[in-house]
Amino acid sequence: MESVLFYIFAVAALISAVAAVTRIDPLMSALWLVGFFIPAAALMALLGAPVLAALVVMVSASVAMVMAIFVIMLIDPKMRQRQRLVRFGKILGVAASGYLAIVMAIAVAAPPFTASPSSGDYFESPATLGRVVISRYALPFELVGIMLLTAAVAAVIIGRREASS
Amino acid sequence: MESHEIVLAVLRAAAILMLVMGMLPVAARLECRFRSLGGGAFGRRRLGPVQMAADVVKLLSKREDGSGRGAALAFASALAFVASVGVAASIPFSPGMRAWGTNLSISVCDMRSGLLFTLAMISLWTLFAFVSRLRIYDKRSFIGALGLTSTYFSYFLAMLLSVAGLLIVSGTMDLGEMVADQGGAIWRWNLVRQPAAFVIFVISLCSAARAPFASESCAVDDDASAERTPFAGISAALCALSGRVLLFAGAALIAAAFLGGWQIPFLSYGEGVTWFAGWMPGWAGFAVAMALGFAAMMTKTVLVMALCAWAMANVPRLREDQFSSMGWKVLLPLAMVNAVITAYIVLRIG
Repeated sequence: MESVLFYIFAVAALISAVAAVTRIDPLMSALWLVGFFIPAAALMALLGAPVLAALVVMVSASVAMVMAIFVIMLIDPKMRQRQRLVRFGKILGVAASGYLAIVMAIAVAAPPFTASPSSGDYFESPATLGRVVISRYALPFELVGIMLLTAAVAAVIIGRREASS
Repeated sequence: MESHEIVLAVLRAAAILMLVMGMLPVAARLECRFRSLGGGAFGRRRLGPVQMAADVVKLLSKREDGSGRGAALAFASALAFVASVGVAASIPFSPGMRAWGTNLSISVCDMRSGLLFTLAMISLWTLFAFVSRLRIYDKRSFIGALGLTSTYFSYFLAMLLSVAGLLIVSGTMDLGEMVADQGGAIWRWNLVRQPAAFVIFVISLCSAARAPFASESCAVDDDASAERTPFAGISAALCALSGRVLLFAGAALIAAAFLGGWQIPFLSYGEGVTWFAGWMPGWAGFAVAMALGFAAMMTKTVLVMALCAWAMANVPRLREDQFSSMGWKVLLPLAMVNAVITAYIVLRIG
């Protein structure tokens, strides 16, 4: 039962992830990204982490908005016409995907994971999750916050320059 | 999972779905009554269910518009419906009883983080408001969509922060535990313990629920506010349905989180069960207590529904910028102050 559900959600997540990367229209790409988050949340719920699942759903709703605003503000609509065949970004992207594929292959061949920590109520209870976030993972948590702040400031600056020119 | 557990889970989900569907006419009636919408057309008054069945057939056989956005629109309307029914999924509509090896109650399941799940479902509404306008290559409707989602966010944040005060007081995210914690005594209800959170929550839920469906834009016939125009046939029906479902589910959420849920005022659940056990078999006593609790819950829900429908119909519409600044400058700081004060008091006392 659970493995059947797992495969259904995994396939849905994979399809929407591929679609998110391959769409030409960046707005559709953002939409597919949301379509990826929902089965991903379902997968987390299957793993026994309902708090994370609910948080992922909440985040995915705002991701759509943020992506759309980025698309409107930051992407030049004429960019599509002057697309070069091979760009630095593409080379970098291929290299990064290749690296990720190698890492995934290693991980699948010899899983470095120990048993699931979800035995007990590690991920189930919001209190445990909150405590972990502000104690053991306090540094990554703060770093993500700083990164988001930087991204917000950068978006404002880029948007302003576009408007004045 | 055992097979009887799966059957039981399916039955519980079906029961909640039927309950939601059964309350739709009540929601529609309340909305029509307070908004003076006429309470249904001539045919519906005369023919009743026959007209409803004919309507369903008509809606099902209608064609989509030829814009080629059928899939996106179907996705949007299905999303709206799932999000509104999902709100009802974690709400306990009755006290639980031990039966067939599980804790059985009128709810889909007992979630440890039910309140969070509900809020996640409510947050999906932004997506609906956004997707339904996404592919119209029309600047005005697109800007309308962005404005709508931004007003939505301003109220959703206030709602989240008002919930923070609630969580500090009850110490749990499980709606079942929250109801049990409030008990029969009225002064233990979260309405009394967290009055500010109650007011903020009701205002923001009403505003946020009104935002995707009835636009806040002053010019109602504006393109930017025409969120339903791209929908046709069954998608349009699903959208209209979702608004009513959310009215019911949101009212049930408020009743469970603030008004003691299935608790009957001044009566204790445990004492009631022992009293019933005096003159009938134990399971029957539990069943009667369950039915009474369900009745109390539904009474409260319908009252809150009436309150929300009345408020949505009678509170004058604000201009969009006033609406946003109400959310950001009044409700959000109030909710924050409420959370801080509550935390201070709880730390001092407990």
